[in-house]
Amino acid sequence: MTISERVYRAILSAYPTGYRREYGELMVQLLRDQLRECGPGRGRIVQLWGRILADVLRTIPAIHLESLTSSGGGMTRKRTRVAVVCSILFAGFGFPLVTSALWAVPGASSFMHAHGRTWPASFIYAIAWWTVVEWLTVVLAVALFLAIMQKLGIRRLSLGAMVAVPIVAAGLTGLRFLSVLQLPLLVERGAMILPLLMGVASAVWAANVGGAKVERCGAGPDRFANSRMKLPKGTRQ
Amino acid sequence: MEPLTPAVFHILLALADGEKHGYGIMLEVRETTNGKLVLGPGTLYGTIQRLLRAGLIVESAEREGPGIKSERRRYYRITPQGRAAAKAEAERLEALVQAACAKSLLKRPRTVGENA
Repeated sequence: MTISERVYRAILSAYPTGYRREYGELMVQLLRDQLRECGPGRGRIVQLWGRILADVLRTIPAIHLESLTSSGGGMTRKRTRVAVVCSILFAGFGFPLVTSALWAVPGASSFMHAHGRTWPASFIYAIAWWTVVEWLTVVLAVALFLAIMQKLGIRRLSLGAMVAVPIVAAGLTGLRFLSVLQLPLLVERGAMILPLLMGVASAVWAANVGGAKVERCGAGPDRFANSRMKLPKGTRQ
Repeated sequence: MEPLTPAVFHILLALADGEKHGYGIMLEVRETTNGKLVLGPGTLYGTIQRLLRAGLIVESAEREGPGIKSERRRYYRITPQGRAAAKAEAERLEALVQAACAKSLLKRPRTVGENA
């Protein structure tokens, strides 16, 4: 096995598992063909690697996104897309809530004042684009959460959580406006249960309806095998 | 019908005259486009995956390639739906070329036999 092949095999681990299982060996075979075509010339191999890296950078996110959003059924695909959009919205709605909650932790403000001028605390807390860091953190956390869930095969749970979390976050944000209306305390407190109930209900709905369909349509690791079921009769080998 | 992406159209075009394996498709696309489009492994197999899902191509039996005896290759074949999609795209492009000719952006394309 050549060094190029070894490096490429390592890069392939960044692709989704199902895709890698189905096409990984074929991709390595294609690289081998191209290397054979290049011959011993170092310049041509460098040129080939330039193309390969550009291809890898372009296709890894695209194929990951596709494996998240496509699952075979039209409605299911739509629901999964809604869930992805909701999780991105959560990044927008949710982080101010998380921040305010962090500031409410006892001793947080004194910690900020004490470490505000030192690095990396100043980098995290004192810079004006702090919110951007927060936003990126939440987006990365959501992406990591999804990746872990997909790895573990817990698609139902991740789908449910993805739908529930933004609804709860949006509901809690909405509750802030209730205090402006100066409603009776009982009504205000009672209203706090609503976003939680909505979150639980939407999680159950997404996990049972969306998740079940995702699994039935073959969105798990073996979805590529199942996808062939949709081919026209008589064309399958 | 929505226009096909260049990668999709070129792969369908490469398979229009017979089944090919991944490397064969890549070579044909490179030749057709005079080296302007070289499909990388990720683009090629990502597109093949989409085409398989859409039923525009199917996998043929895996077998050894003609030149390289030791390696088994997976061959792909265009389906009637794939052929129809490629034809529709070719007609769309033809209409565009005709529009460009009408506006003197291009010379009128020569038909087969006109050279003789």
